[in-house]
Amino acid sequence: MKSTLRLSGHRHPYLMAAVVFLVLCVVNAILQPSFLKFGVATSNVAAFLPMALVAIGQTYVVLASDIDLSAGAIVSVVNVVVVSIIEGMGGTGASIAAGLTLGIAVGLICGAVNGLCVAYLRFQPIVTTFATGIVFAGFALWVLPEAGRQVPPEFYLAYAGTVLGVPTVLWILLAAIAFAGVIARTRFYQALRATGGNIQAAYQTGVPVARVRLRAYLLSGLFAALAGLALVGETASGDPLIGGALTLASVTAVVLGGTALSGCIGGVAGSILGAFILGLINNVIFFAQLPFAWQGLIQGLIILAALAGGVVMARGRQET
Amino acid sequence: MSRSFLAVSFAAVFALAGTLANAKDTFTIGLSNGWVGSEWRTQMIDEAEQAAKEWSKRGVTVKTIAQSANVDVPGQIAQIRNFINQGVDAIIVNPNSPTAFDPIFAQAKARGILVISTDAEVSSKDAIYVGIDQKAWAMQSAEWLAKTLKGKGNVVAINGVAGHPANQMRVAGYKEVFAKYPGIRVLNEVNANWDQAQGQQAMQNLLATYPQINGVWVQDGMAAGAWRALTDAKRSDVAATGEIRVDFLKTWNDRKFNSGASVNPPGCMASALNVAVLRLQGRQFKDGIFKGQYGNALYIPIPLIDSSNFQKTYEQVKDKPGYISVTTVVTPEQAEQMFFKK
Amino acid sequence: MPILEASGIRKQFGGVVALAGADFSLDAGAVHALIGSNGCGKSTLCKIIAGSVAADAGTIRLDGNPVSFSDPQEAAAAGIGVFYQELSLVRPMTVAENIYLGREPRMRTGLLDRDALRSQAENALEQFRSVIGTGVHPDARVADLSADQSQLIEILKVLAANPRIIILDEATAALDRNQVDAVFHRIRALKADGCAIIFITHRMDEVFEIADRVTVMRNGLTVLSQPIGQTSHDEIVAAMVGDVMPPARRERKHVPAQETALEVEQLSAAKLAGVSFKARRGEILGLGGLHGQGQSALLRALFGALPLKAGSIQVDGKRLAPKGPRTVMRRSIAYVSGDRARHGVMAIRPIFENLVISLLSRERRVVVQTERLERETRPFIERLKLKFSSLQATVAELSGGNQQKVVLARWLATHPSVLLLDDPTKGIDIQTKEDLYSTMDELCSQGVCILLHSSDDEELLGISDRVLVFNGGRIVAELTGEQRNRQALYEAAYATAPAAA
Repeated sequence: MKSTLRLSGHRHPYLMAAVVFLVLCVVNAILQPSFLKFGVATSNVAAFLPMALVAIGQTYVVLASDIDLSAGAIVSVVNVVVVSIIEGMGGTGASIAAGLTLGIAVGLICGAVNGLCVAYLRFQPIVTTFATGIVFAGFALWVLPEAGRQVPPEFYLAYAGTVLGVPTVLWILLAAIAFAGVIARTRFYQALRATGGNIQAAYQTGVPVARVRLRAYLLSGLFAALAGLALVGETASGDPLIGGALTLASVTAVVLGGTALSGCIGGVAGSILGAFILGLINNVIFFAQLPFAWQGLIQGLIILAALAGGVVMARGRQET
Repeated sequence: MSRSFLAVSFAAVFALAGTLANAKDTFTIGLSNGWVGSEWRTQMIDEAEQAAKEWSKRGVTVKTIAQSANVDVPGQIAQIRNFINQGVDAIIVNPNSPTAFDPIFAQAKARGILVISTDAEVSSKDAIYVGIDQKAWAMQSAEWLAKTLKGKGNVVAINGVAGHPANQMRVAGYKEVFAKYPGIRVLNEVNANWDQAQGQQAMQNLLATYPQINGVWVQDGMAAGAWRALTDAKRSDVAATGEIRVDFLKTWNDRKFNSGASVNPPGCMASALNVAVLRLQGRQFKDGIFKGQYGNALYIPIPLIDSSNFQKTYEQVKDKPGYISVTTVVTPEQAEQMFFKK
Repeated sequence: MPILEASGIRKQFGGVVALAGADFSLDAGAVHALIGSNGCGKSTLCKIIAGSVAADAGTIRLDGNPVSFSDPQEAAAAGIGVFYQELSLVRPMTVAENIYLGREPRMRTGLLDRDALRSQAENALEQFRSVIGTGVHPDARVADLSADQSQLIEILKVLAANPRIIILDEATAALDRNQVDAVFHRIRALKADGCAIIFITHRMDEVFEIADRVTVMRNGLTVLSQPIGQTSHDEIVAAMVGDVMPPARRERKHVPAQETALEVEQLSAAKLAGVSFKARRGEILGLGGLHGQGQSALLRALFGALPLKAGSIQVDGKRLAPKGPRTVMRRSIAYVSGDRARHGVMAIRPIFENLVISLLSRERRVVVQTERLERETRPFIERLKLKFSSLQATVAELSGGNQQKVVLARWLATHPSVLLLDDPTKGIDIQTKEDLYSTMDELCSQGVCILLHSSDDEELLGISDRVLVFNGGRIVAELTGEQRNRQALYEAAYATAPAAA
């Protein structure tokens, strides 16, 4: 009862994202009749999954009014570390387990570095994560100077396959959504939003703001690591530059999803929609058969239009 | 959150919608190019589209969908995914990575889609490669240089990007050739990153360090730079490999260079398309025809331009824009003869 | 034994002494009023007790044991709850989320129990249901609430932690009489339960209504502490004022003219409830009273930086509709704030750019002629005795006083006929203050009308020709001639605020 009541816009800053998402689905379905087939939908989920995962992690950081400009670099580091470990250990089952575990550990370590610098040493978040991002990217290049190395086919076949009849990528997305749903019902999440909404007030209320911000960066590192693993499944090989484009894409997805860069307002659901919107825009451009020279222009204009829609809706809310 | 659930289940509901079917004489082929930075790539796509049109003369309709954009590896995978989702019959890729496409090619093959890479070999066992053998390409021009020098002299090499797969194969190629000629001494090998200006700079440095140079082995666009340095230094006595763009051929003609150039034809994608259509028509490959390090390569002939055929080649292309490369396409007839069972 | 005892507390912020050895003691089951004029140190003392500011010296004993809280969490764990004057609410979050921030009810799984959160908030709101007005429910966003509603929510938030020591720092400032009654009702219940309450207010009648004991602070020291029955209104005011001396009158050149420069009628806006007055040419009109009673709001409303709800403004007999600073500037009105960092200077930009920014926004030419602009500002730089190495040096290199001179020079260059000064001498040295005073005197003798709000009562009384005393968004007194003294100012400022309209 109450939860339907809350759909009324005040608490759903991502309503606009949902509208844009549905519009893009319709456009995509017109341009590509097979769009609504299950296999195609699954394939799109697989294509958008890495960006969606990074965007989920980025959301937590942005909710605390911080930002993680190293997320894409973390994806690259995890990607090359996992591939190197799996190949180095001979591609056995044990090597895959070790690769996955260490990959996630590496993501968490990167997140911890960001969190310690920003929350405890009080470095400025934009500059700090920009700099740590360069360090992480450099580390990725050191581990694997050029794209290559391979993981056993079992790995990517499992990723592209199904579990209990449901595609693995859908399981991953559902698990991420479920995880985010649990997080959203913790005291930590309230503390996170309070920190982003009014850090002074949160501090005076006894919220451990530094620990909260650190945890947000850890979550960003964790989800970047998951995106790195997804890309291992997607490409079966390592590429030290693979995550580069994901940093700003994730921030864009978060903002498109209605989360305010000033913190507190928004949520993971919107960011997932935002990531899917970005992916669908690429698809629409693909199926519209636009010449190369026009693609960037059209892509930028669609993103701007989606953002403008969100701003107009936010204004409308304020005036009522 | 509930909204993305909704989207997924939406898709599931409509999953039973219709399928795409192709008549036997109509094929759709996706062309994927992940880098838009040189006219060579543009020419590659243009020629492939032209080759598709030519098939109508044989009563076969070949539709192409070209995707050309500057994308990273996930971006090119997304291109290929869209081709798969569109239900194309074949996908021809100039790949951004030799290894990263294994999973997506496996998915394409599972859907019965023929996958061909061109210009760069891929490790996937689910794809084949149609294009030149980079090693043979280098061996051919190295052979020309060794013969021109009559098997004796001091040689330098200017290479591309260290560690790049194509570069590695080319280096291995010329090394193998020069090793056969005891009179050829390789004085130095430098990297100029496939950049014309860097090639010129490298040549200048080499000339200053080794005045006794007799021959230069240099690849692609860097050759134009190296030749400029040679001309500036008035070293018409030096023999050097060349490149295949009309601009360079004009200078070659005007200044009477002593040069030889292996052709890496932009028509390779068109050749791959011709092979693809024949395969889609049900033709079987000859036994044991696949070569290369991944065992999936069909190598196409590599023309050589040297003084023996320069005038003929030059006459054919001299009225074309300067950025056009000399090209050859393996015609359907040639492809049938070379690769397919009767 | 007192439940809480603070003794010899010292605290210095930069060069300013906030507490110079203050003492304070609190008994269980009692309401202890803490009062004093602006900047007397009472808020700092509370912040030290609450753990959000560390003391330089002194001891705090809780139940007789010395304690030292390093952050608000520790103080909260010890049972201390604080209502902050600046409100510690997170505006985009809901009423329920704010009340129970950090102590949300959880289910056995450890996840939030949203239904319990909502129903607990509903119950908490019930206490103030009759006075809180409409639109307040557990799912309402705090950003959508009015000031008094937010204040009541903040009180509920403090109480939700079940503290045994409650600090209420001007918790009733925005409340109307009925709301104050409801809060007092709640305070009496807490007292009966054995809670100890520190009650900070500027309303003298509230002190006598609710407090068991009163402590007065002045200049960082405790100057009076008495059971409420053993003191009087006059004794408390005298303690706040200190040695009653007539403020030093300055030599002045200017004589206010008879012409009206600015006429304001029934002006209403946020924090302003129907303000009317006339200011004459060549007059320094002081705006006094307790902090935040509408003085600053009036100046910002006149400058177009605060939207008006009602009222009319006439400048030199012509109507002014302050749509925004730009329109107001065209009518030769200038505004200088003491809050330089927020409203005044662009610290990392050169002095020159800071000086000419006001001229630039009036500039209609596309190409800026820097030499002409420099000529225009030069006389004011000299008049204000601005000290600087180069006009291209950044403002951040200047002292606070010189930064303020830059801001003032910027506006003087526009030749204003009405000058709005919003606490212009905050945090600047005495010599700079003297330079500013003599500049103001000079401007007035040229016919400029100055509206001056100052948090320094001495300064306000000393240099104003007339002083309007604000209380609760209204003008409650006009002090002229010999009336311009602290006693009269405090009597008016500390009187019960008239009920809000």
